Amino acid sequence: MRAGDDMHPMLQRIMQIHVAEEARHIGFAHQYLQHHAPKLKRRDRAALSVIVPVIMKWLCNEILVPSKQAQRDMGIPDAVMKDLYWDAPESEKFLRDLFGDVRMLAEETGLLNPVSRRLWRALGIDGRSSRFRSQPASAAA
Amino acid sequence: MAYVVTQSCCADASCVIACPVNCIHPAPGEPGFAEAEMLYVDATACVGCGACATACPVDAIKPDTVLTPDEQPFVAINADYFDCFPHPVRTPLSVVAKQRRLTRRGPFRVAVVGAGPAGLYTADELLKHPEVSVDVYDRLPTPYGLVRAGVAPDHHHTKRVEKLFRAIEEQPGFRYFLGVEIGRDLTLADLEAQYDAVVYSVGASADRSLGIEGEQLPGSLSATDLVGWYNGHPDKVDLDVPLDGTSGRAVVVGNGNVALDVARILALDPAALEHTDIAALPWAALCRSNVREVVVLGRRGPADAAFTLPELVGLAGLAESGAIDVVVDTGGAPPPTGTRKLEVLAELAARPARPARPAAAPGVRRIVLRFHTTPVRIAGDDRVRAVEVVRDGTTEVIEADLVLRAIGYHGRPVADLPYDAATGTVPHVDGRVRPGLYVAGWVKRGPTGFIGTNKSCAEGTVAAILDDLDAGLPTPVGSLASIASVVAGRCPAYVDLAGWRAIDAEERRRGERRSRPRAKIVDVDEMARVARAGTTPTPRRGYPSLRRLVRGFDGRT
Repeated sequence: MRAGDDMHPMLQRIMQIHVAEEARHIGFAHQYLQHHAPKLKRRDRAALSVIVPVIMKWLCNEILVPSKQAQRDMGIPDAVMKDLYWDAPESEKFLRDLFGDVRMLAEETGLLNPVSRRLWRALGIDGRSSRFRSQPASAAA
Repeated sequence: MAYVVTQSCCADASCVIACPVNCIHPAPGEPGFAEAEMLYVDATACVGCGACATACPVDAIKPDTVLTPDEQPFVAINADYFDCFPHPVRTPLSVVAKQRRLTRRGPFRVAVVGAGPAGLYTADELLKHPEVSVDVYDRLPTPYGLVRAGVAPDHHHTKRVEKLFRAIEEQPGFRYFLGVEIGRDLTLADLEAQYDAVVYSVGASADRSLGIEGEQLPGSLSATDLVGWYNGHPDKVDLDVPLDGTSGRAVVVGNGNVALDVARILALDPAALEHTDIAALPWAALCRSNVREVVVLGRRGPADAAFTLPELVGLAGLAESGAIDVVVDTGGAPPPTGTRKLEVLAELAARPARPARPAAAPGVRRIVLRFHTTPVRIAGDDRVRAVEVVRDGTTEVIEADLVLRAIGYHGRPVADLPYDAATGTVPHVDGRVRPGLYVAGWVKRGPTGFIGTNKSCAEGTVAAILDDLDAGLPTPVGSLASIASVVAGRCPAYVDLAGWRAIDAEERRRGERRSRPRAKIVDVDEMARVARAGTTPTPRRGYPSLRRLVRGFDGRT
């Protein structure tokens, strides 16, 4: 939808409603976390800082990567799967760009420290943070 | 709950991209964006997610539940826009161009001349490409151009855009060479030899003159100079501003936003400005000021007033709170109605008049918005004594000791660049003067628009630069290091990013003691001294390297 591509009007309308509803949830969640993060105990914050990137990457894979079953049904070769998720340079960049908003949130809630930064990098989801929610990622991010 | 755009909107339009339901208009590229006084939220479409509020660099967007009484009129102003321009055909989301990549490998170097909003937005757009590094030059040791030296001190919301500028400066590939004047310390030829591309974003530093008799008398000043004076611009520190005259009146010719700014600063109780970043000596002068009345002259009627609605609403708020007495003088004609701006003016005009003589309302000073009045002569012997004006064919004399012309900025010719005297700009096509040389900001499009307008302006210029980089430009000589040594050779006292951070920290520290956001340093030599003293090497990243963690030390230290 961001690219202004033509799509079926019904699909477009469903996506439009979905995006608007998600935006409200995300808006509430960000506010909630910003409000509550300062009250975290040091130990909890440290634990969260390493758990969050792992969970986020896992969720991302759950949502985006087709299952083994789907791969077999569609007849996608293993090498192509490997390239797409997430070995080719373009895929790596795509993955990093997906996480701009999450990185911003992690930064704002104090979940970025030397250890967790390395973890983000190891998971291939490091990079620059968005300056605001849904800021388009740039080539340099 | 819907969000509302309020007075400080600077048309940066990041909010348009952030909005998940595309309910903020006019968007860049839509008809009306270039002329818009602000952007507006469509309350019927807004889902209240608050993404726009996180995107706004000046915190102008607020939920309608937390508006102060002064900001309430903006609910109706936002709604008005969509009554007139419903934008019935909207894409579900604002369309964003596909991420652009350079086709050639680089690395490329770009010089930006002028560290104002246009220069920094240009640098930001360029730094979206990892192949490009940007050096930003400025004549003064402090960056931010008119955000520092132009925005009125009581508009502290607008100054929050500094946070965005900070983020831009922090990006890898960004360098400052401040206190270096291109055309004096370095020439355009020097820059073109060492950079792939050079962008001028030097603004429009002069003002238009009235062309009437007596304009050169002491006491007749340019409003832009006065703005620089109270904002602590180093060139304007010694401006002679006669505030102690016996007439107790100042006249501002022109009624744009700059005219309202200077009128407000002259008329506000200095105590209200004490906790702003206004320069110290001008503030002391304003405290001793004898000016009780500021007359703002408009050649035409209220319908053609040049100030924007958000600024007028701000002024009306001050009148409502009793900080300033505002009088609307249309020469007996009933104030016209029809637009929101005229209605606000009519409301101001209909307010119960304060006691006629200024002496009867001590403390509260008055702004008179006078329409249909043309100045024809500034009278005086060795300095300004009065202004002769004509309204409806009759000549009047307004006694005044201070006359400020505020009829627009005008660009000066820039050394080594072509110049169009009529518009005061550099002739260009899409920001390109010739391949390798570009313009952005006021020097490109003339003195119109707001701080954020420079963002879309910079995007246009940077698109031209990227096209030319892709097509191939002559390879420059030298390297990033050699450029730094050339600048250091020509201008040993230049200030870099660390130096500017030191100046910034020192100004904030000095301000804190007097509960001000900052106390501006107004002397160039002192700035350079503070920058030199405060420059300490900082680690490249905000956390220790692996080697340091393991061995307990860093190879570089």
